[in-house]
Amino acid sequence: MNNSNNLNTTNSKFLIFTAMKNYVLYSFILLTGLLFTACSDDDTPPAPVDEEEVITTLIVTLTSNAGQTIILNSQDLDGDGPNDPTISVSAPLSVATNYTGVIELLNETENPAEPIHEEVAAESNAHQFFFTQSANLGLTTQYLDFDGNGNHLGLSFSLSTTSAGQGTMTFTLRHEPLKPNDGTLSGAGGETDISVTFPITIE
Amino acid sequence: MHKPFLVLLLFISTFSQAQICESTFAGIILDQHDDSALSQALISIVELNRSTYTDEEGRFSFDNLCLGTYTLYVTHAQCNARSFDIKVKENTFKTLKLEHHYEELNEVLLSGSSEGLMSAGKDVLDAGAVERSSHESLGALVSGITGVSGFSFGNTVIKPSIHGLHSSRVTIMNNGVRMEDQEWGAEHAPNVDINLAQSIEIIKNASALQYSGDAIGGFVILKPQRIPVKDTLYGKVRLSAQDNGRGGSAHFGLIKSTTKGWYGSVEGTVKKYGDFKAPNYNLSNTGMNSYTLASKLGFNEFKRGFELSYNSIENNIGILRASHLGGAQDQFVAINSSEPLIIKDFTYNIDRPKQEVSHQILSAKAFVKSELLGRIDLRYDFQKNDRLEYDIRRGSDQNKASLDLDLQTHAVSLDLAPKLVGFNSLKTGVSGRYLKNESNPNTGVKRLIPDYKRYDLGFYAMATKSLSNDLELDAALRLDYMRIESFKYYYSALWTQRGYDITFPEFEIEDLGTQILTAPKFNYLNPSAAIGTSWSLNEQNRLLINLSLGARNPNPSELFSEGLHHSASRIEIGDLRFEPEIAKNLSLGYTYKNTRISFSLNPFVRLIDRFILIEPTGIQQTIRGNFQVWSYRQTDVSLSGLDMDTRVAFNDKLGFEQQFSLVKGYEFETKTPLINMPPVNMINALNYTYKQIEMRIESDYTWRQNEFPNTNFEAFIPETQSTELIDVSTPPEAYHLMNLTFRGPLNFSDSFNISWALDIQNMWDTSYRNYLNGMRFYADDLGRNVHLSITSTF
Repeated sequence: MNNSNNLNTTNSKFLIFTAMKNYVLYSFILLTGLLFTACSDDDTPPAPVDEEEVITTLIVTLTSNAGQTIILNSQDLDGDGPNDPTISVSAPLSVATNYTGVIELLNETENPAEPIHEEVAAESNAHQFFFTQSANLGLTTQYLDFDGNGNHLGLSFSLSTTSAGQGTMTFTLRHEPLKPNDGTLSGAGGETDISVTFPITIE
Repeated sequence: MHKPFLVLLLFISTFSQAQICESTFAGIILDQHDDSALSQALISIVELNRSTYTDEEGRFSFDNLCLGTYTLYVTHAQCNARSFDIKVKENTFKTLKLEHHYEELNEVLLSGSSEGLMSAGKDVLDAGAVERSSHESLGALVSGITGVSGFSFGNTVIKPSIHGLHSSRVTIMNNGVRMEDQEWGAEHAPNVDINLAQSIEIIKNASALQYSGDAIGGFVILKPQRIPVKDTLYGKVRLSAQDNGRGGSAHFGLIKSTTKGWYGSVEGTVKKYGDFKAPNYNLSNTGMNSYTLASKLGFNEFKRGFELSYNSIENNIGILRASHLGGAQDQFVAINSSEPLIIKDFTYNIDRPKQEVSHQILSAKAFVKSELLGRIDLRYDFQKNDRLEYDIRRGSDQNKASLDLDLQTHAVSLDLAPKLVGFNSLKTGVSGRYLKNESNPNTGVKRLIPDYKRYDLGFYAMATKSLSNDLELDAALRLDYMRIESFKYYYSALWTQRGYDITFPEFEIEDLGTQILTAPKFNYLNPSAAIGTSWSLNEQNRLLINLSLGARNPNPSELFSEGLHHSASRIEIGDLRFEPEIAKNLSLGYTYKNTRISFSLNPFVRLIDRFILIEPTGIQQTIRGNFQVWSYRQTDVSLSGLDMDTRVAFNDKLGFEQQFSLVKGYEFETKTPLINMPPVNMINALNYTYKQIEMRIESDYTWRQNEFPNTNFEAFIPETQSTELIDVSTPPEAYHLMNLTFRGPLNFSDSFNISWALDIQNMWDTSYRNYLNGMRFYADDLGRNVHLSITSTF
């Protein structure tokens, strides 16, 4: 008669108990072993990230017909970090004057600074600058450059002052806007890559 | 199949032997799983050709037996036949146990095999419900349960939200594995395929302490299919197609098992959808595709078993193109536009912004059962989650991911379910886990989540005891230790601005100018507990009371965030000083059930100390314009509400169902409403059966959420050179959706079943926006969807 299935055999109970004990033991060994291997991992810090797309700096150089140069500068070295951009305008604009404007974009987290405006020019079909100013500021702007499809780009532009006054002027770079568009920010859509507002005085 | 044989056996006449044989052998047959009595089990004494059936209480007896040893053969319709050797002395009594297996593939779950404490209450989606929604995501499926809603980001990224709590406050258990898949993120959908689950259980409080002590919102438990121990090969094929998204899904499963206990299965699912549509426009770039493959091999005997399993899921998810914004001024335009700013023609292509997520689970588990120690389970699970998120980028980075996270989890656990006199059930266990998160630096974008390692160690014990036939008491205790070690580059300005340089100087490693390298390390030790009672007042009325205490540690996002969160178009700031959240919950459950009516009422109150919430705290100037800054903060909150379910069967054909759910959440001191609390919702449905065809018409009404914190802000808009209010808090209007379902069988043969279902969601093509959907600012929710599915089992 086969006894192995006998429910009453103390022998089988003992075997099971030993088996259980082994299970408990092995699992603890496994558990602690795992935690130790985990702990023995090397602890070298990961590399910092090269922030490739960041634009830290916008420089607008306005040159009058008479050769006077005015520089509008916005610099934000910590990108989305808590420090605000520092904004400066080198001199007031002169009334009834024509300027040509050139825009430079830099990523100064890299050394040497990366000229992002070259990337924008290379992808001209997917970018456009917009120039907006407060209603009381007597100036007008015109695009001087065009993308691959003959639509406005805005890395270079002309600016004419008409009357004296004070106000603000914003340079906005949109990525993947509707092109061609009606010239307004809301009509163009897309995403804002840059939006910098300068205080402007015309005298 | 073998019934005629059993009946035959019964009628075989038995002959008593001519000697002094007056002993009685009696016994009781119980189910191995839950000790329930097995009636109608056939017991035969092989040597004597005598048989008898067990009665309602599982009892049987043979009289006039001679002393000696006999072979007893026991069979039962839902169990594996088994033989026992017995010694008959004078009047012997034996308790014999059989392993319950499942004759039907779509069996109803045994009551009593509850995952948590009985008193915690649970909602179960059975095999039928899971199968009918095979094409849906987990979030969409469980949002059909009263008190559960989908917290979503578009229509393919849906997270289960239990009474307004979601993400790291809800634990998802997938085939016994606690999912570790960057679940802290609001736009990170759970990486599970519901097709691999036999049933899904929802526990709406922290009581299932064998899994975790930090599920202060609750648990979603996907239970695997049970495979019968017999020689069989069966399978399932399910095909579905729908017009919204112009796509469909296909699922197959093949399962082989033997009477010796060996089994194996292979299952797979493929889903593919193009752009979905709202009633008035195409939702550009909202397509998705998904691939799942799962297989397992195992051995299941009465007393021991093991299983190896592997499953992998890959999801490619498009994110609404119009939701990708560059700051406050874009947000202003997008929110004030009645239609999404980018609407293109339908396409199956998934362009940026998109997510590519793969999740793999490898498990090995084994169990043994003994009369003495009960059941012992040992398991090891490995999970690997790869998450890639693509944004719209410039230049050579165009095809690079902006977020590239790799999270690996190793877990071991040991569970014991000993049998002790006086207790209905007893369970205890230990578990250890090691997680390693790596954030690829080659993205060229500052890490959203830093590299970290996490060590978890947990211990729990739970017990159930009957005080009388009607009153059961249960309790559970758990202790969790967690250590997190990370490396994080902070903006130097933020490090000092938040005072970390004074509080945590020991974390500083290297100053790199605008950034500082730090190594934050934290330890947490949390107890959690639950106690409750279930009381059957009489046959119809039952009352559940459950008190639980849970503790959740701050997740990596709450601790370490300090930058632009692109999909939310805002800067988010965490806090290293956060302490664990402590939740105290009281759940009550009252159910009434008779043959025609079932009714349940489940109120709850939850007080959470140091609840972590995120709120706007300012505006930040960047070269890209203004961004709203949201900071995490801890505050004491209270949540309360009730769920109500009513079912009435007027007759065999016609039935009525109603679900109603209400949740209120406030900050304790200021009484400010909490953000993203689900609005009041009521579902009314009529079910009618006509010649095997079931029809259901459903009305789903969601009230407007009138209680919300004001998170609006003002920002400079260059176009008008003026400051404008940006409304990011006002909830959308109430809405009413009608849904229609037909389903029925097609009978060809006994071994080949086909069933079909036709679903029409949002029948009247109603335009609406859902408060809990992050896309509501930019686009309407889905329009009408006609969905047809065919399932065949063989």
